[in-house]
Amino acid sequence: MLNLLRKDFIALKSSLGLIIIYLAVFSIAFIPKQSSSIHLVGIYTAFASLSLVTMIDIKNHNHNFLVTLPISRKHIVQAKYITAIIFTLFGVLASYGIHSLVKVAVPELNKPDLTVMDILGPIGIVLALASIYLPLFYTLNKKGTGIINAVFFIIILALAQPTAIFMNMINENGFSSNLTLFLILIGILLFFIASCYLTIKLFTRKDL
Amino acid sequence: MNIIISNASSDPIYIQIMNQIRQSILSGELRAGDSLPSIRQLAKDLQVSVITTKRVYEELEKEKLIDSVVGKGCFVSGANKDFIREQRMKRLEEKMIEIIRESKDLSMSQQDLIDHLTLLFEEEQTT
Amino acid sequence: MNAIELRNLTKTYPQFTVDNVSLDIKQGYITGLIGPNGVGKSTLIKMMLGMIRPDSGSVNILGCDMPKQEVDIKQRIGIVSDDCFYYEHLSIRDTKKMIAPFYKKWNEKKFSSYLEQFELSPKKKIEELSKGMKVKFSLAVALSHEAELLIMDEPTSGLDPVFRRELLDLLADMMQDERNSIIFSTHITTDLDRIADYIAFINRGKLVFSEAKDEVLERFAIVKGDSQLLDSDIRTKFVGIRETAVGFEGLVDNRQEAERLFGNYAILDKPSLEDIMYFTAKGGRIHA
Repeated sequence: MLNLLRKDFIALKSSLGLIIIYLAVFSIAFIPKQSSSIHLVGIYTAFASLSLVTMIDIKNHNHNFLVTLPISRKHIVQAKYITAIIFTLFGVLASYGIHSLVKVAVPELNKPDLTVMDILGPIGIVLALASIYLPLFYTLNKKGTGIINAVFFIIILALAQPTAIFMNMINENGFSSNLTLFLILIGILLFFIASCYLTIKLFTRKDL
Repeated sequence: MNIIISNASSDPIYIQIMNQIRQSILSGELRAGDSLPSIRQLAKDLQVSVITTKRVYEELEKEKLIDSVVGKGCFVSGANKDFIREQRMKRLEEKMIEIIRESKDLSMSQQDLIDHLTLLFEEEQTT
Repeated sequence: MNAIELRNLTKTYPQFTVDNVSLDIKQGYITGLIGPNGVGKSTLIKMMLGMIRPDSGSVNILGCDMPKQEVDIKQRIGIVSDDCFYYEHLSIRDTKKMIAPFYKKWNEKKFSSYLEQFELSPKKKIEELSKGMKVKFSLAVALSHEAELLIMDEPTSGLDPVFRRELLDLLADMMQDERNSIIFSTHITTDLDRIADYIAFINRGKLVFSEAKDEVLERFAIVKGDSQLLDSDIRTKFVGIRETAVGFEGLVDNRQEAERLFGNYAILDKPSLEDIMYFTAKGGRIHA
């Protein structure tokens, strides 16, 4: 399993710069204008990185290579879900870090105070998106994956406004609805795990 | 020992190999106890199938010209000196018959041939 | 013992079907899987590798069930193909770093010596490699993890004649250990056939025959003669016939019978595997 994660990061080696650029571009684009920039930067960076990895895989027919190695298809799928978690944490935490810095360095932007919800919220949203995205990635062929990547990019763009409203709503409600939030997060987590199992089932049966 | 496979020959490859090894043994080039290359090594050297070389050794073993010792490989058989001598005698006889036929073509008598042979025999011994 | 056992494998596609193929690949020998293009050789190989799941039937590799023991099997086999998909943008060294940790028996020393022998620079990127070089690289990987069974899909199609001869030696080296086995597929009868022990012939998704190469070459014969010899009865004896204005040339699968039948009226020649493939594909007669 570790070997598979290693593989993803070796493959990404020359593209790591690209992820930093994603982070920078999204930061510059959102921070000055959007009040909920902290969420958007995190979500965008995380998801863009994930689709970068999947695009590299697809471009190189990576599944055909992996199945020649001594690993089960189950592990191939699980590793990709873990990669998704790593990117999610990276994107969201990087965004949190940048915003903490911005708040200190450029106080005139009047960024709101940061809360735990500013981390958990985006993580939940990215994981939910990944739970829908990854089963499609593993069942569709090369052409299909290209289309799916484009569709998801549009969905994410369209989600910017609702995300902002949603996150505001949560923040305004404050701690009163802690339990509901907790339940939603648990729900997303379960959804993520279920999605992983579904993908394993589908991918194990697939002809390569 | 040299083995040469010809693609032009009408004989199957295994016959070609077998004939040449047999020749080497009957001619005395290979002596009793000499080891032969392993089946797989011979297949590699000749770039032929392992089944082909296996068959060669099996046939030669049937003729009692070689022994195969499990785990050690194949050796020229020493158990069958009489047989080898017999085989070589047989070949000699074949050649003699050829000579007799040839001499008949040249209308030589039996005595002519014997005389000629005696002469050559003596010459050969003095050199 | 058999290195590979296929039992009643069937896989249906809209264009063609791999139809109820049962085949044993013997341990300790080299088997050539031959047949024209697009008749199911690659599909069969992909089913052996667990890349394609059969509609029905079973695959057993080195005594293990595919796909149940897929991981164990893949530790012990080497796969060589001209479309092994590595990451194009990575160097050979990075690709090796990626692959090596997956294998329990990775032999780094062997790997570097093969790279040297094949004149592959570790700094070279995969995208810069020719088809033949990719085959060499995947061969180096396969030989460096002590594979007991080498499965090669069309290995020689991108190789130059010089390396093809070297390949014969490399494979023969591996075969010095009688526990090892090799299977390769090819649509061109190449010099690889020289060292093949067994030939399995696939045509139109079916197994035509699977037997020792020497037996095949002794059993079949090419008959050449005057077209007037061919009446409807005689024609049925042929696997395939090619007729021209100046005579006919045909393949029979029973040399002795043909000798009796034609006597001195026709010429009997030794066939090549290519002849057998050509006439069988042409005739389309299937016999087990």
